[in-house]
Amino acid sequence: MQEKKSTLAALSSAAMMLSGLAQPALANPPDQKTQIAYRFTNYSEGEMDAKDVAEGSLERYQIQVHQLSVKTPVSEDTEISLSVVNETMSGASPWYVVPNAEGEAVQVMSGATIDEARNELGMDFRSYNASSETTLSLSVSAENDYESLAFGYSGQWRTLQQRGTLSWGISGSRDFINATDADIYAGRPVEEIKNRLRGYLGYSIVMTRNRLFGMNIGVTSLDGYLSDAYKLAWVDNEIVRDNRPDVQNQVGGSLMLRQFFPEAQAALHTDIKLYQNDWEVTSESLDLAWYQNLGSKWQLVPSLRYYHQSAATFYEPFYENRRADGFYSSDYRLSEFSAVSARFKVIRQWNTVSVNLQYENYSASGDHPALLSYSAISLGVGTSF
Amino acid sequence: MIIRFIVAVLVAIAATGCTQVKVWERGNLARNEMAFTPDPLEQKIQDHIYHSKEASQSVAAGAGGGCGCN
Repeated sequence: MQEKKSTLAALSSAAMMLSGLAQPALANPPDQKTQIAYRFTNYSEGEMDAKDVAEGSLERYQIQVHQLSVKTPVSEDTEISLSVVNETMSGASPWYVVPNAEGEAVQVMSGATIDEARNELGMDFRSYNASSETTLSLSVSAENDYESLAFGYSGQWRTLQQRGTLSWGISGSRDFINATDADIYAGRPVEEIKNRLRGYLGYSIVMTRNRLFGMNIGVTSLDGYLSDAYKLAWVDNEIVRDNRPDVQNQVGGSLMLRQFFPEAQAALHTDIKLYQNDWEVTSESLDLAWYQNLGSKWQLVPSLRYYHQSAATFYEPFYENRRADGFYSSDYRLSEFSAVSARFKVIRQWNTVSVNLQYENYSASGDHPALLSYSAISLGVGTSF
Repeated sequence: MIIRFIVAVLVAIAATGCTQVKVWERGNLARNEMAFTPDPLEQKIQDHIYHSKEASQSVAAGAGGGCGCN
């Protein structure tokens, strides 16, 4: 152990006494290097089609995201990571849905352009030994109408002469919701709280010298204010607030295969995720990525993701009759839809510096008038020393 | 349906068993592109966007919060 009498060392030593949480598939000992990574993402939602909009702006969200992370060793077997996220958002968002003269669903958008910012600060303390590792994670996120405090605690045990890794983790968060303009719009929530508690188990195994397989299953429980603070619903010619149950339980799992092809100097990623909650939303996603090396300096990564979800049991684009349970939501995110995302990434390596550029195009299809399409361009830079 | 088929294929691959891979034979497995998460920052922002725009959540995610999700 290096002699390092610092606050960081003290904090990390405290973290070592806990048994913790780590990002999945971290199986390497701290490399005694400092790593710095930065990423900028410009996210742009496609305009609404005029025929689908009854009122309000056609323009949707534009978001710029800056991410910075720094990881540095504290001792031979302990490291600390700090991460910062800054998001700035502007644009209009879907507000509520009404039937038009033909009885078709058309969207009312928020009229005024919304300008918001969100900042997030996160810290991870990771401790490592020959057969296991633990990580303690803490994060805080703040924006003008939403604050969140979160913790995570996870661990890994390596088994089968380091061929298998058992992962586990628990995490939780408490969110504080204070909607803007609550004094203008009656019923908008103030001082509401949302709690999340999550646990998962995972196992990954080295199958051959060119193949890795991993799987995990997790459960999540949400309670508190789970409605949308701003959205409304049309119910039998009356406009009411979005109102959802105050409890939601989720279960989900994923399968991950990594296959390296030495002849092609390429790797194939296959990820499948299945999800279900007790609002009767089920979803499946398939994500395929091909990592093609071109020499030792360039890498091209085309990838494709398919996603499908069913609708929540109480969702309707608009309601012709009142529901006995009083739950109403016309949020497009609770409707049934499919989405396809195509991505292309280029990575260039210079000694200790790596630069990557990625483009993503996402398009959803279904019956809701406000289903989303967006494009995102990201630039990432990383170095270690 | 196709996803169920692929799940079956993946499970079948997993069921074919493993060969004993020595530590010195793991050079390809140690490559960055063979990691489950090769680029954590990319993964984090991607998960955040999908979570904001879809009903599902990644149930294996660790700590993290915030909304930014209108």
